[in-house]
Amino acid sequence: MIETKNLTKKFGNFTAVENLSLSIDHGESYGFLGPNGSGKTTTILMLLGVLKPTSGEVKIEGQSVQTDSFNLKKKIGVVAEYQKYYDEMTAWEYIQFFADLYEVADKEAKANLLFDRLGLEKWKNVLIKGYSTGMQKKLGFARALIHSPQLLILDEPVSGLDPFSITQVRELLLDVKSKGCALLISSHILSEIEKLVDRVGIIYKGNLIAQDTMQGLRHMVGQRNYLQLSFKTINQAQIQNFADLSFVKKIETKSNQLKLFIDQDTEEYRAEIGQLILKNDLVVLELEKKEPNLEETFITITENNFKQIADQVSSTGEKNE
Amino acid sequence: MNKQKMKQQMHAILVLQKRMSQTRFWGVGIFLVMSISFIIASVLLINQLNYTQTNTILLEKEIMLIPLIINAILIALYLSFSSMVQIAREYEQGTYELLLYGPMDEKTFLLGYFISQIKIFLICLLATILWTLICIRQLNLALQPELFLIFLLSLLMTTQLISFGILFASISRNTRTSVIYFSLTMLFLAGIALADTIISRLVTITVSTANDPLLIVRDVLATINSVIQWVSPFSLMVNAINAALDQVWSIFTFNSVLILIEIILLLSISIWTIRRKGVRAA
Repeated sequence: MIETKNLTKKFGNFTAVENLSLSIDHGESYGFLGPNGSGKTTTILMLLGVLKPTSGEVKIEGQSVQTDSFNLKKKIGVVAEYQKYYDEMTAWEYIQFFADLYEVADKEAKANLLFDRLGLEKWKNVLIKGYSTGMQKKLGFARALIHSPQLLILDEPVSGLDPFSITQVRELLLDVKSKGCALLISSHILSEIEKLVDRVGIIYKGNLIAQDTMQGLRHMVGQRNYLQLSFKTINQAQIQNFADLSFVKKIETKSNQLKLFIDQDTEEYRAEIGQLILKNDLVVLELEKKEPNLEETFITITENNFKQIADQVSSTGEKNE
Repeated sequence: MNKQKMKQQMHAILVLQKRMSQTRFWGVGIFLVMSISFIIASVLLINQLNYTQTNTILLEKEIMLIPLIINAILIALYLSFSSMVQIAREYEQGTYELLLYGPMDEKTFLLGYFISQIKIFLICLLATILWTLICIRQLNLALQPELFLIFLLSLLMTTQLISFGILFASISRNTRTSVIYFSLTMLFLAGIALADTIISRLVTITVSTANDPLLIVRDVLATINSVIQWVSPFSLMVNAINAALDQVWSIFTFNSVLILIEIILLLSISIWTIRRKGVRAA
């Protein structure tokens, strides 16, 4: 659906995005993560053909955005972080204006359907300036979807929405995804990203430092699933017995709580843990299997990268001295 | 440029101009300006007729000339101001960026605004023509063919002024700044021409010696005015109208072509400027 090859954008001496290559297929959702100022927005503007890359190219359906921007832009929908609207328009007029711009056939039926799905039908004839932040955000979704795009770019899609609206929007997004629309989601609300995306790309200082499925990313940074055990009491010797188990790769303790990091959660391993509990006469209050969430993975990846860069800088400094 | 892209650009321009025209006609601004300009034009016309009757001297070759010029200038100033403010607001509120996410580019965006303002002026011009015909019929005046050249030139002047407004909005991208700079420029253009006329008349009445400082002021103003005349929409229009009334067609054509060249130049600079500045402030 969309593909970038060695996309680079420089502003004077500053490189905002460097050699970024990514691709998203039809019906795939891609989480585009990165700290503030990492180059996410610059990349999105280049994908939209609004910003011209210094080098590299963006292709949508095999065609370059720079050469056929009008046709290709019609295939893209955008929900920006901050909503932009015309003061003097009602929500209905606003959507109709964009439907005209995108040459949407049956625009009134489509607008009604979207207003209905987003719970805005009662307020469609109200001036947008009278809308709350959440309602404006939902109107942004209606605008982005009115022309049934094949690629939907979402920048902080759920910020400013209440939990009920988040569910409404999530269902709508999963629905359009199931119909073959590709999603590119950029957000800092990683718990929400986790629920929506198939693959994640992490951009840091203009470089795409990691790109994989959630499981692949965890594997990449060496994050493992873990069993979390809470005991009534446990002493140091007993903790050591758990640490000595052959399949336990790492152990973390916090008062009477143990985190046993393992590669696989098998019945055999659980049986061994059970025997050890019985042998040590321990009282188990809680046993839970956990896996690292996207937030932990993101922090590990960006921190590791930061350390690598810092190491490179210090080693260069030492050499210079 | 391929045919399909041109068709899509044309579509985007038409959608944008339709929205802008609707917005303009839903507001009271244009109706207020038209009413004021017709009142002023009517008062000027009556005064001229009274003066002519009392003194039996015809001040202008075409008695409708000054009322029509004033009427056109007022409407043109309003339209150029409003297009400038609206474009600047599109930048400020981020809707310009939003439009560029879709099937639109910088050129279609500016041309959409440009054409919407021309369309509004053409509607105002129809009202002006109607007003002129009524005046001519009621006051039993002669309908001179040069009047239609005045209408054509007022359209050219308005188009040039709108292009000026678009250029100011593209450069400043801020409502307040563009309004200040545009107002100062228009005041400068009109002020120099007015001061030049007044000083020239004063010199002929009061100056007795060749070393009078008023002569130096007159010469400076005349020099500045002679340069400005090639740029100012008001001067170019007045020059072309005078040439039309005197039936000096070479000067009329020259000034009209100059206005057209300046319109194309101003729009091209505006498009180049917004492309260079990008969608967001750096």
